[in-house]
Amino acid sequence: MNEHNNSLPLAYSRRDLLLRAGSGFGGLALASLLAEEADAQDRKLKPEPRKAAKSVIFLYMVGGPSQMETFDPKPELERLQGQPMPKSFGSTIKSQFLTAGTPLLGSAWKFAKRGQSGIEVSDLFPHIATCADDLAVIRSCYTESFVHAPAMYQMMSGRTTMGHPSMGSWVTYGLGSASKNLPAFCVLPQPEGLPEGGSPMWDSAYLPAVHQGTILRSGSSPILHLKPPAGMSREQQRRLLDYVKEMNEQTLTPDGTDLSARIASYELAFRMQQSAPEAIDVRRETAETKTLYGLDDAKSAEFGTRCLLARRLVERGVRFVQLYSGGGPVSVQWDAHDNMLENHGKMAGMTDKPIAGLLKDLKRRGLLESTLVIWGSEFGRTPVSQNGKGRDHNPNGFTMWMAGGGVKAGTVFGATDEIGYRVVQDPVHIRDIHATILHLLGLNHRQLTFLHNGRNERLTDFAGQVIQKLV
Amino acid sequence: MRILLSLFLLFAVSFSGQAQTRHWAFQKPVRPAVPKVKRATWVRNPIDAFVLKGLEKRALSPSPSADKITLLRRVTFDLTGLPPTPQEIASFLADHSPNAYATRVSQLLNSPKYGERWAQHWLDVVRFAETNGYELDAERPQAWRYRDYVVRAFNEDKPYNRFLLEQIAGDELAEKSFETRVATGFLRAGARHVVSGNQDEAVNRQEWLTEAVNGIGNAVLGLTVGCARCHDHKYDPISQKDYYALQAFFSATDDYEYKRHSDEELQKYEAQIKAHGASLKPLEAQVGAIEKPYYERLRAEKVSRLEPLYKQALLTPEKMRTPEQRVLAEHAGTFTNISWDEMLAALTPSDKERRANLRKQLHKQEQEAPKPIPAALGVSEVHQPIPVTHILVRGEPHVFGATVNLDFPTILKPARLPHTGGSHAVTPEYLATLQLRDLAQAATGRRLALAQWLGQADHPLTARVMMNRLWQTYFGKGLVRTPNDFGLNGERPTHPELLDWLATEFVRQGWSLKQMHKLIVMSNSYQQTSASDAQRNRIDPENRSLWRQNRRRIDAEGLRDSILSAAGTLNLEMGGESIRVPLEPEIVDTIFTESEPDNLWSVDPDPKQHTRRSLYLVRKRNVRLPLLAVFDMPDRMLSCAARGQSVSALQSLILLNSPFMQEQSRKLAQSLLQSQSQEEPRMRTLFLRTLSRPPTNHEKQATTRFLRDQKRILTRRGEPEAEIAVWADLCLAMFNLNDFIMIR
Repeated sequence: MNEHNNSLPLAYSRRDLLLRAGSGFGGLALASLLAEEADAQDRKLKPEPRKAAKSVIFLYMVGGPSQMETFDPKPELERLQGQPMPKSFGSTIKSQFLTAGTPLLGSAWKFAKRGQSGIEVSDLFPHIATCADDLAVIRSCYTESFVHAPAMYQMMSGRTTMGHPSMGSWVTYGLGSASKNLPAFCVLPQPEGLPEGGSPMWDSAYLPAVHQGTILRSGSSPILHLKPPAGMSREQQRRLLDYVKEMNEQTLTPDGTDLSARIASYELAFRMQQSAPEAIDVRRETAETKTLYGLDDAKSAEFGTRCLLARRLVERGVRFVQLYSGGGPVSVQWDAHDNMLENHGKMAGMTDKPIAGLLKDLKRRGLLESTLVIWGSEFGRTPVSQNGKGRDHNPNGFTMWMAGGGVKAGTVFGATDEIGYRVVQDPVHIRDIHATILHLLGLNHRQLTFLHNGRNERLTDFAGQVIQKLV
Repeated sequence: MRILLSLFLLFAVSFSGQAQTRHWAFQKPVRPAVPKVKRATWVRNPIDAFVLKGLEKRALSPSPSADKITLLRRVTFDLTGLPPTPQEIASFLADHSPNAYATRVSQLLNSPKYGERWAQHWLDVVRFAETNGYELDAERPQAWRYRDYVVRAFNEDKPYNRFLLEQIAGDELAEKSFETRVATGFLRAGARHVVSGNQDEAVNRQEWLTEAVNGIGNAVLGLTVGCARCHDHKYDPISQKDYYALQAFFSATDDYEYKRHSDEELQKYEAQIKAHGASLKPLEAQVGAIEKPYYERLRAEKVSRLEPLYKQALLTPEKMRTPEQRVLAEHAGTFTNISWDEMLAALTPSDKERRANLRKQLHKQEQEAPKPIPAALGVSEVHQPIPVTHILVRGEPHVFGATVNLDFPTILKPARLPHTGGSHAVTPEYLATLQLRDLAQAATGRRLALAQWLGQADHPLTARVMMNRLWQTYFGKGLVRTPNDFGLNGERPTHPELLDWLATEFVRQGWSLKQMHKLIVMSNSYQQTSASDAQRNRIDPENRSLWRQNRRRIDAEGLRDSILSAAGTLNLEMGGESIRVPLEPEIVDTIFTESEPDNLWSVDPDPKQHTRRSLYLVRKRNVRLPLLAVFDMPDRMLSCAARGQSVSALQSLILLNSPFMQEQSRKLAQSLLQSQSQEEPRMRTLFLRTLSRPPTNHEKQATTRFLRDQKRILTRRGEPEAEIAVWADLCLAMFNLNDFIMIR
């Protein structure tokens, strides 16, 4: 059997099916999905005339890492350490927990210029610092909520409210699946727990359920119910599937594209049972690769394994990988309310080497051009202290970076004020980040729409502009 | 350039203004004459005349009626959400009277399962759930009473306008009751962001109001009024002023909990609570005793690691601390907190196990807390004096524009108001007329006025929108294929006259939904076969003219309920508190908490409750049962007017491999083996229980071959209970067939 002709995309999208129209199964399924998605307006996607990224790896730092401790040096803040915030920077900072004016707090780490580009990265990230020339650092991000969950929803789905499709769902909806036997949108959570926003961060909401992010776990059954139950041998299951197929073919009708899609979905499920455990099995990677990702060090081994897994997934055609650093107990999040040094030191210790390893590995395998890596969080942190040595949430100015996927490497975009509180140059709203990500994937954020309850919904809601200087 | 553009836009808008006001959905429905058709013999009721007229216009002919058994499965599922039982099939097939089908339809409409089925559709539309959503996703105890209210309302065939009246203004009615106050749960069905820390009350209040107005816009009006919160509507003639005038009906309204108890009951309850609290104490003390030495050690370590400044502040007695030291001591307190994960990491394995066991007992004991005093989670006119409503510039809660009075959207204004027959402004005088007739104490009459306006016979949208929802459920697609958008950007009806006839007939029948259900399922249009036909398919591939029925996939809840029904395990108990069924540990893990995650999902201790209908499973916004989620159960964040119909490998995996499927297949196999000793009748029963039909000859052969092969595989492996295992495999296979999951 020619596997290629018989392949079924895990995530159907209309565009995907349009592209497949006329060839075997896709042609059949086309009419059915056209009928079933009659509410969805044609997305009128025009192919972009340039090479576009094929996959995204979103390295999500749960809880809000500090900009002034990582990628946004603030010498003036060091100078003003311990003093109240000067009036020139605005009124007293009010955030989720801060009310009274607390003193300014200088960075817990020193900065240095790195690589040829001279991008400044703090000593918190000695390994990522070696990849500075691959980064496009955006120092002027801002968002709308200073509360974790709404800010997380905004980062992941474009709104502070729940109920809208996540970015990964939009991307698989727009591009379809390139993997024949893995979910197109995979989520790799922190083993200790999920981010505060929970499943709406990878939900498909009103997009078809196939575009929902699938959580992958370590172990022999990485996908929920992937493994046949104990007592069901492979031979026994194969026979059962053959019977199901034979029976279903008996009742197939000439217009039965919905019916044949279901028949094919069983074959795909069967294939996935083999391919998913193989995809997540990092044991056969070389010792050198494992070391590159920090698997030889207890503190970075877990996150490193997931970074390595992310590379294996994009290699196998997965479109969108969400990789979370942080989740569950407060002590395993970047939410440093009490002590910057302790918290960020610990979290960076888990992630610095693996992230650098991922960038280097993607690059040497020629995958970085087609893979957009994003580092960021729901917001940044305040220049004033909380509880003495910590910082509260700051949505008014924070840093994210991108690498690969056609983004302009070795650049710094935008700026915050001298204490890192507010954006003062080239403001970048989350919607602009989204527009830019979609653009790098060859999708126009204004055209990637879905008609729901009478409105052409899109990831960028009603605004959003591609950051032209970065693409 | 920009000026030119705005001039152009201005022109375009005023030009399209006329089209906007003339839009079909904003005109009151006028009862059309039933059309004359050529093939009059096909017409069983007026619905068929409208459908046939459309077919004849396109030179199409309708399809013949589906066979009796297909029809029974279809109508039983559509009216009750369950497949027919083998007994029901046998008695229906044995009834050769011409009224057999009509009799069955009446029986189904009178079955309490009808209310359960249709409640589910309504709860989708109002995005009902039992938790707040957002990160904490806190529970709303007793929210289930609203679900039961909806079931009862459908079963009693409460007139639809009365149903709306109770949901929007149940607390303002003169004849208000606990029940009508429960009904107002409709207004607080949506998600709500509740979080600690600094709050912006104005933002929170706007979110409440937005949920309330959008809820009515989506569910009742079928309009995207929410678009006008930030700007005049782009497509529909709804201005921002209209939006806030609508919001003003709710300006005094907020959540309110109505308790129902006597003093005696309250005393009894408080005593129970106290006793229950005391019963937890010994266990809590035991946990505390295990933790104490660890806690002291860990804290001492943390204190010793403090910088001298903090340490000194902390060690200084509270009264003697300087102001600076007070701040430092407070910070030091945070630095020296011992979190549960630090505690867990410090415990020895044996202490950890002892503690875990104690906490397990504790959680079990907690489940036995006394049942709360009945409360209606409703609304009331809480904000007095009634706050003034402002237009909010760009929808921003702090940027006030002009003030607005409450009013109905201009485009939908009736010729006259209920009761007065007079001018159509919602004035204080008008509200006073309500006061005389219906108004209860402490009410403002605002929502009552809104509800009465919505329930007027000639309202342009109310009846049409609801009839379209009915139609969509029976044919897979509505007459308007954008069921929550009847505005200019929505689709035009495929059969405008039929929709208006249905809407006016609905009102003529006293807003009786059961009458309308009956009319639709009795029509020949509904009873057509779904089989395709190449020639007609070429002319109308989307089947917009309804030359046949549409094949549909069973929805998520229907699928789970059908499995339980076929397995003979379905518990048909109605109503009451929602049930937590066993949930995959991987999904329990997805429940967010920063506390110790050892009690996130307390499964109902009675296993009989685990096989209740899906309607009664707890509706938690952030957690859906994977079996249901993967088959497109909505997340209940926003109104869901039509379920998705996706196909994916994850569906196949769950239907093949999940413990639930294994268990139900085995139960079904056991029951088959007990009731039939011969293979052939056993197979026949299995087919009837799952597919509602006997097997064809070819299917019999294929099934026999499968049984033989599976038996060989299992016997060779030395399976001790090969017979039941083989049949369990067959049952599992049946649940995976297209004919099980599809309604033809």
